Amino acid sequence: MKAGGITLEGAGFTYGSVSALAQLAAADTAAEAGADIADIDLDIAPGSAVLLCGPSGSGKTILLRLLGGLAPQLHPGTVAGTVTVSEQEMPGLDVHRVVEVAAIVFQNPRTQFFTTDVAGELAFGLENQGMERPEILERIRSAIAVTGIAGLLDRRLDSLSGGQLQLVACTAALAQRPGVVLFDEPSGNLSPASIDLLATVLRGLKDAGHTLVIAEHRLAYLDGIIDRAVLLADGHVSEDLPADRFFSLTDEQRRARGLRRLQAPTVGHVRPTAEAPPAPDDGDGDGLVIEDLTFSYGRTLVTDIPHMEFHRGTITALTGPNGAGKSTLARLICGLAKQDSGTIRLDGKVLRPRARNRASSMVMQDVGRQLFGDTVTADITMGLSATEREALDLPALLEATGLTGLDDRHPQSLSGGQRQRVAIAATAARHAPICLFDEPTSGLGFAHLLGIGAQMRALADRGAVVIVITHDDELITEVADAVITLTPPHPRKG
Amino acid sequence: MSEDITDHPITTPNGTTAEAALPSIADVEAVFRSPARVPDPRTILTVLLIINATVLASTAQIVAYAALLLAVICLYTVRPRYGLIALAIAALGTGLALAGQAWPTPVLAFLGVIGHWTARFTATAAFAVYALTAIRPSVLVASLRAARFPRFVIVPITVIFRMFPTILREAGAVRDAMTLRGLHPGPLPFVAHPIRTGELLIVPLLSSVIRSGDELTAAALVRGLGRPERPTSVFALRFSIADVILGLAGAGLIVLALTTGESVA
Amino acid sequence: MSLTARDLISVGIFTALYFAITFIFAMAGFLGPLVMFAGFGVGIILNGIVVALFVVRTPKLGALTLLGGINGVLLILSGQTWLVVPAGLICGFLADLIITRGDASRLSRRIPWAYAVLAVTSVVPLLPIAFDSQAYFETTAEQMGQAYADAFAALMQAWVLPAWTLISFVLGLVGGHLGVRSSRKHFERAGLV
Repeated sequence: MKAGGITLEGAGFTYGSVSALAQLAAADTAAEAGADIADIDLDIAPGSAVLLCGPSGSGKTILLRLLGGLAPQLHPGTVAGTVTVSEQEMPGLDVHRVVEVAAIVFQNPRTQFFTTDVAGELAFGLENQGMERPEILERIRSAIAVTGIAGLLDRRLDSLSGGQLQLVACTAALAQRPGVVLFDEPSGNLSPASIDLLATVLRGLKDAGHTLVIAEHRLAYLDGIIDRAVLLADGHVSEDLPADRFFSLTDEQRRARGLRRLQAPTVGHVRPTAEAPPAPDDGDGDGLVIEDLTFSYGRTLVTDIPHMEFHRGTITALTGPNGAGKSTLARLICGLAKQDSGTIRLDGKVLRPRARNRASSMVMQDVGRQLFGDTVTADITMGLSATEREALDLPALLEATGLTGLDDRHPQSLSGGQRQRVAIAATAARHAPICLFDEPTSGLGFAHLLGIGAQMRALADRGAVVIVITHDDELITEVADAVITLTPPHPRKG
Repeated sequence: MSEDITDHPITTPNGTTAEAALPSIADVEAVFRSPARVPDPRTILTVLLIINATVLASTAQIVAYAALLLAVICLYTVRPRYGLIALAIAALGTGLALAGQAWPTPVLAFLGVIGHWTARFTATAAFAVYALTAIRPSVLVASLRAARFPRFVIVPITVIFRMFPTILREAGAVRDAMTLRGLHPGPLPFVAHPIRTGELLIVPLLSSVIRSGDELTAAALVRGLGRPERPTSVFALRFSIADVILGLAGAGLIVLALTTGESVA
Repeated sequence: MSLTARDLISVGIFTALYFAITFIFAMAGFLGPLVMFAGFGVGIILNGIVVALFVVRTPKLGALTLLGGINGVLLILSGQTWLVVPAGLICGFLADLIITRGDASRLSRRIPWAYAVLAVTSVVPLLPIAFDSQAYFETTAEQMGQAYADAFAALMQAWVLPAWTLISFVLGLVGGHLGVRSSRKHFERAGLV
């Protein structure tokens, strides 16, 4: 086998550990990462690009961790069979030696950086290997030539968008000159424009001769990049298709496999209009109405909306490029920010920020920040008045959100999808008339996407104004009743 | 490591040959060099300690004024507005202290003592803010490596610079979530139930910071953190005229503190 | 059992949290000196949660020493006296000894005591005021008159330092207990230890 090749023979992994406490932690890691895997035979030729896909819990994350030397080194468990990457036996390899064999680009662009500026980050992996200065400079130079980020070199990392950060991560990976580059859902948190950039860079990496293994939920952008798709189901390889056959699966076939769509949506798929659909018959003043709303950070005008409507019983998608002010608008709507001028009305009544706090609930992008209870039940009922608690049908709510049987678990111990449903249940329990979702499907598979859609629909059917901030075209086509595309405001004169 | 890949002709994403897009080594090198008007981190940190040791010990008022002047000037070079704010605070403190000495009524005297300390702490704080703004964390790490600081000092310090913005962002998000859940994190509940309210804030904060910390750890280790080799440093360190000026100022402060000695006021 | 690269990252994360929480609650000090002391107090108690979780995740000799010392460096960077570094190192090392010496199964009993020792460092930033005030007081009392002297005395009486030492030790014990409880109630069950 040549450098850059990958061979798995009867490979498997079972989460678990010897000590009882670590056992518990491992069980929860398993809940996070999905099922164990077994009997994986796979042979990946040097220089080829392979997609690992399958529904959440099918085992693609753990397979990638096995290839990248993260399991069992950082995620305790038992390995079966052999896993060889670039002629290196991976299980048992010291984690700090992984850098010699493979580079990994992780899903979350905000947590995979160790330093604070782009230049330092690109040098980090090379400095750790004790490389001399001229070689580091030359490697960074040639990596930049492939990814085209020369313009970002002198920037601080916290001034970059998620897409730019992923490009920096790709450049850092490339500068290591690894045989193999592994990607763990690299597009998970990105906007469509950023995904296009990522696709370009992936193509550049492939053309430069690297072996790429990409675990992904979003698939359409990989058409033309991958040579082969390995489908996983329940911890086994269920299918192994060449790219052309994979991308010619029909819509029905890919849905049956629990996959997200394979073709980029055609232009015009999103109603390109800032108009909400016609208001329900009971007419004026129903729902949320924004008039002449402006908001600035310092001297920068970020929000300037003459008129906008969100109706009760309707799911409205709020979309638009980075910097269009989507998050700011969400903060204004729920009263976390106070507008400079203009009004926000609910059912004809002007609401001040405090009142908007009470009328709103938000499911945040990272739901871990909004779970306060020590059990699922405690979390859902926290902050409710005695009468509200009285009126709450908790078993029905748990049933509806798919949390039955988890009511006594600690919310932070649940998987990402389950945590999100706890936050949704808490939202539903409060009967807030305005429900906001911030990027609810980042890094989620098709089944979860539909699940979230159903939860939003349930809230809308109870008469709530449901607003979802999202980049996810597929979520929009599956569930949104109306689409509002925000654009950055033009500075007003004066 | 795969040598065959390093020899592969480099192409840009759109397939054209790379020469046009390839930045020169000099361009890349320029990024790993601080501008000459910024002193080396080692100089800045040494002067920080000098100011700290002289102003916060029982030295004459003239030393405090001199240190304050130095701190405000330095801060002004990187953040003019902050420099002026520091000057205003120090002036207010000094004014109160002088008023307290001139008209020693109980109230004015009390305020005077507070003013005296406000002015002194403004000197150390202003220079600390200068240090934090002027020193690029990557350059700091390079200079710590050059000074042969052990790994157990360098790694935590790098992580701290990296984590502060994360912690502040997460704390803000948790606060927002509390507001929307009706678990008001405002001043009033904090006074009434400081511990209960604080615990509500801290548990999700810790959970989410530790989760992102675990991801950070994995990403750092697979990129070779903790390897047995001594890490090199690509940032060029150099002493410039700025170091000479700042160094002389620091030395002057020591001389001033020694010569004015015990003679207080 | 030496500190691995992974442990050192952990030291960085928890030191950042420890300092950030002290800082956030001390910010309340802008509302007035009394609130400042209350803010410090609440900060000390809540940091018990941070330290308890840190100790459970990294129960190794040197972990708290580094946390104390580096927290001291950060305090210098916020304008406090350099004495906080040696103080942080010494108290951190003593806390480390309390944690690592003895029966590992009774760790949760020792955490509050270890943290109480570490919490005592919070008295150090007051030292320059105390020392200087005494020197200042002696030479200025006659010139400045009785009112000025009284004001000084009121602000910096001899019992303030020992009192704050004792208070921070007790708050540390309380915080350590809270931390152990929180650790059981939340973090163990959340799989984060």
